[in-house]
Amino acid sequence: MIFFMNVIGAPAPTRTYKIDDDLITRIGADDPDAFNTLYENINQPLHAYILSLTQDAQNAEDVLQETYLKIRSAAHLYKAMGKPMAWIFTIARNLSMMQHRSAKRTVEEEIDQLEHDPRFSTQFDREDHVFLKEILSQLNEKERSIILLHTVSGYKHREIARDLNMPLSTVLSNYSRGMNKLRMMVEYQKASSK
Amino acid sequence: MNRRKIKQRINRAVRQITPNVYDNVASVPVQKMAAHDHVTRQDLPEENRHTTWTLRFAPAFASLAVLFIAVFAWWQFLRIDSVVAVDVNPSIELRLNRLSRVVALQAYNPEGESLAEAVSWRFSPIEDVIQRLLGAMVQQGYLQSDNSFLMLSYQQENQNRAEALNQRLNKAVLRLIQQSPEMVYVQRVEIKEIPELADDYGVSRGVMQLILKAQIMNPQYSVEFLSELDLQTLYWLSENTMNSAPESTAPSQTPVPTMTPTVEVTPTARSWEYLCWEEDDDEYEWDDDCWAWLWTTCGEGDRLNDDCVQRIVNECWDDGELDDDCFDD
Repeated sequence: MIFFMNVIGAPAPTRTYKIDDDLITRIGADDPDAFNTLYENINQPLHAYILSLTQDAQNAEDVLQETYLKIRSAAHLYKAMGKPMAWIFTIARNLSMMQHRSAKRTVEEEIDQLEHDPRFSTQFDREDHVFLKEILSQLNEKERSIILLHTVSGYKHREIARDLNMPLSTVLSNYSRGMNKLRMMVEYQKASSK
Repeated sequence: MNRRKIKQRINRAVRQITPNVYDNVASVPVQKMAAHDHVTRQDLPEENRHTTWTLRFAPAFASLAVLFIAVFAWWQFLRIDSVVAVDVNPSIELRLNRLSRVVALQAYNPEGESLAEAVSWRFSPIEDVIQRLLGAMVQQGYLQSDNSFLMLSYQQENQNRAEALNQRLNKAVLRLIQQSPEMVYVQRVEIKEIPELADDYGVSRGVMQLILKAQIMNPQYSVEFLSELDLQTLYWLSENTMNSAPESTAPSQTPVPTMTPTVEVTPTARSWEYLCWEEDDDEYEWDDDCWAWLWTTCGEGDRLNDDCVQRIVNECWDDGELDDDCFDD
């Protein structure tokens, strides 16, 4: 399984996001198709972002659900500003901070739980998750958010800058610094294993 | 492991644990919020709000900057800061910017227009333009005789800048001053209303000031009359009262009226000399015979009888001069 995954690699990040102010307005009017479209388009990047904030898969899932519910309950109040993803990320961030105050788990515990979780068991790769654990611990919050959004969701740097309300230079420098940290980490691990 | 492989591995790891929560969130009833709370509020972070504010007003700032630059450029390079009038017979006014470079030129007569066409002046220093004008004048036959007369008049409100301009003008005509000091007259135009008056009479502001000076010295002459006189006569009248001037002080070629017709008298308090100026070939000349006749007819001791002169004026003054036939009758 591990061999298979390493050979074919992960699916490339797909860019199918078509989120605009109108979609949020339709969700505010209880349009189920609109919410379905939103979910299909943002679930991957939203989860990646929340995971980068919580560093915890279970907490990330909780926050993910709460974020969707918040979107549904507040979409009718949304004021069109041309950046709906920025609003969604803000909700996710605020909920993550609230979650962080109320509950803490260790990554090790969480991985053990995930391994036996029926939702993931068919695809779960322990090595990948150890690697993910290392990433989450080695990088700071900005670096995590930027790298996960870029690598998992295919977000471009300028899109990350726009939706996380950061200067593009900050996004680029954090991405570069984070990737260098990861490369050094991998090289160190490789040297240690020999 | 290179960057691409690291990214692939992150991608794979995160995708494996991305949950599908659709069923848990799509159909669950939610209560619509009455207003945003601290979680859903749309306020932008401070840094971004600042950036947005800056960007929103960027066009306005850019416009202001362009406007400021344009105003500064106009103020520095195009705004008329001072005026220099060059009068010989050709009459020209040069408008200068703050850097004392000529930005505009106006000729007041055909001779001036001809002269202006002969020299380059745009954005040249005032000294250079005056020297070019002097050269062109010599080529066109002006300033050749001993009786030539050049007047430079400048208008500059700031005292220090006025003094600096005065020095530059004197420097520009230094050679001419050394050759013949009496040929050159440099004056500062100090009366604010002069430009408007000069426009009314179609003369340069230097000549206008000279006219006013001449009228102060010789109030018997009207501005209209003085504006028709040649420059040298006008200058003489601006420096001397005609009544008291000894003949010897008058420029040799200037038609200075003498006060000694047929009777040895001093002029009246109310002067009637203008009656005896007559126009000949566009120049005014003093008519001794007229003056003698006037005294013969209306003289009463040391003065002219005003009623008598007034009668002559009423009956014989025609089109700016006395009708000789009528006067004889």
